[in-house]
Amino acid sequence: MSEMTAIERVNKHINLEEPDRVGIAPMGEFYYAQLVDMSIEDFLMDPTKADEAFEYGFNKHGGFDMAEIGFLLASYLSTAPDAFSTFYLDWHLPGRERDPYAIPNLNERARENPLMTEDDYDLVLKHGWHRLFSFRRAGVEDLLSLARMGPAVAPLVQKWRQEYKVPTMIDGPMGQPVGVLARMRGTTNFLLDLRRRPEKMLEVMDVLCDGLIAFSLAQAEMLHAKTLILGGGTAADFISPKMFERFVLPFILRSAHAAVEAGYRLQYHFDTNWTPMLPYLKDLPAKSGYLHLDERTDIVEAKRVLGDHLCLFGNLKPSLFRFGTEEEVERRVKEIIDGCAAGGGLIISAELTADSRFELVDKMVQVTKEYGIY
Amino acid sequence: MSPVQELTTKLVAMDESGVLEGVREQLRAGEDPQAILDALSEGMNVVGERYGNKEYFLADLVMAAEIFKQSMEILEPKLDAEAGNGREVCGRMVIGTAAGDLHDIGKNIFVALARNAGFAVTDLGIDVAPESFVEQVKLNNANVVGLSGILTFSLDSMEETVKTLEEAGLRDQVKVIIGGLPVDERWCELVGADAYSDDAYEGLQKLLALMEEN
Repeated sequence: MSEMTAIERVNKHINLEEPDRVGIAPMGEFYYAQLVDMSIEDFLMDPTKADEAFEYGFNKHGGFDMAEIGFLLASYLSTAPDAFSTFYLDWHLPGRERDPYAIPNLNERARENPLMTEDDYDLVLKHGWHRLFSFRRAGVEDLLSLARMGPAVAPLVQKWRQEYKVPTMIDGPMGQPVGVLARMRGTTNFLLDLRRRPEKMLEVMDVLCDGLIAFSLAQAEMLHAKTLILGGGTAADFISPKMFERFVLPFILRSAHAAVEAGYRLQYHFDTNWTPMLPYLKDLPAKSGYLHLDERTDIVEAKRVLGDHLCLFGNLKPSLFRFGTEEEVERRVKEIIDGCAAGGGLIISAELTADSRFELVDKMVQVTKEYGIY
Repeated sequence: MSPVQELTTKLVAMDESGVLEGVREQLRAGEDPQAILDALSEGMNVVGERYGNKEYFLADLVMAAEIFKQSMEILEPKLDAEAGNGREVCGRMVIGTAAGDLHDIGKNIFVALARNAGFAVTDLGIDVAPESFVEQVKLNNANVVGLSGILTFSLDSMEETVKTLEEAGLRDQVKVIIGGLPVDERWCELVGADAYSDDAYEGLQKLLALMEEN
């Protein structure tokens, strides 16, 4: 079989068909900045520079099956309450509160001094989620930067998709209310709220969900998006299946179906242990994207439950790439391939930390390309 | 079932107002505060066991810890007032998120569980410099140091903290436990800690085991 383009390969995996080999697409983000000794501030705030760093890493590793376009800036400056939005959350950014070479750091405020109080639930119901918008950490200049994002990203998207035939990994966020409320209230407060005022929570989530969907789709258009990232929020083993069915699943499904109906592909970004919840994910639109699972979910079980429904992605532990050995990386990649590659629908990946070691990342890439041939 | 025993049941059922009203009511009725505390502690043990068996989830653990904390605020003045009453402090812990890291979800839950278990906890918050740990260990005559972190570079801060404790001649005085999502055995060895966990409840069990070794 002649070698496929990355776009063809990824399409096959998402359609749950066997291409020429297993996919490989590290989520590198700031790892690429480190490779070229670029400050995280430059990487974050300038999509062209971020792309230069990514392309260097892409070439040094002999190519991946997905490209990371600098959509991160849009996330940190999003005017919707996304996971990274500096207009809503207490992010400490490089070049501002942090050293230009330091990665962004979120003050979670899990219990004390939450960004959103109990009273704010009523304000959101009355005025919508923009009531939570704040200029505490970002200003008007940032809004202008955000406006410049579309034109800056467009040629990069064009280059990767049209010229290099590599699909972009994530082009923008797809909001859902659970993640927003957990971050704004602080996870501990959020979990307490679910027990103390369940009806109010459902009412707020309902209002939030429709607004987030509308905003995310409009922003996706501006960013020339094809793939949006939809997070699982504070879910999985944090709450019981009964609570999951009531407070989380309906909203994830609503956002997912809205994105797919609008023509977007999704990265379902479900961190923590989703093993007990895997059967619920059969309700996500089939072949609608790929399911990112971190090392806490049993990916072989995910293959058993969802193998005929969604492409699987990820599962290597990030810290392995700083503290592990080449043998450990090779062993884990082969285990995942042995357990999940049959029939297609597998893209090997890890959320790399900025201090990941090149030789360990390279081992993941090369083992996948060699051992993952169908 | 006695009214005091009912407190155990109510705590296990996460009946927040039922427990708090019950505690107030029992105190008014002249019940021994120590008996009330024992009943609540028993409830926390059941919740912990159920969490360990995966019958209960993090949200349940958080809720139970919150109810226990509020109950203690009502009970503590009464316990202090009666000689010989109150809980035996099973350890004095200084805890914080390692320097450079701002995450605190896991740490806060661990702190709540440790307090429920009878530790006197000094929580230094997030982004805590190694020198602050040293200062607070001395001030509180602590025998446990808890270090939390999610970012991989937290390892460097944790290592630095342990080194600073050594340099201050305090390392032999304290058990060091580290926690956070990426923490594992290798990380524990590199930092030079005595125990590690990526789960608050499991971390507490490991800490209790460490204390028994002493």
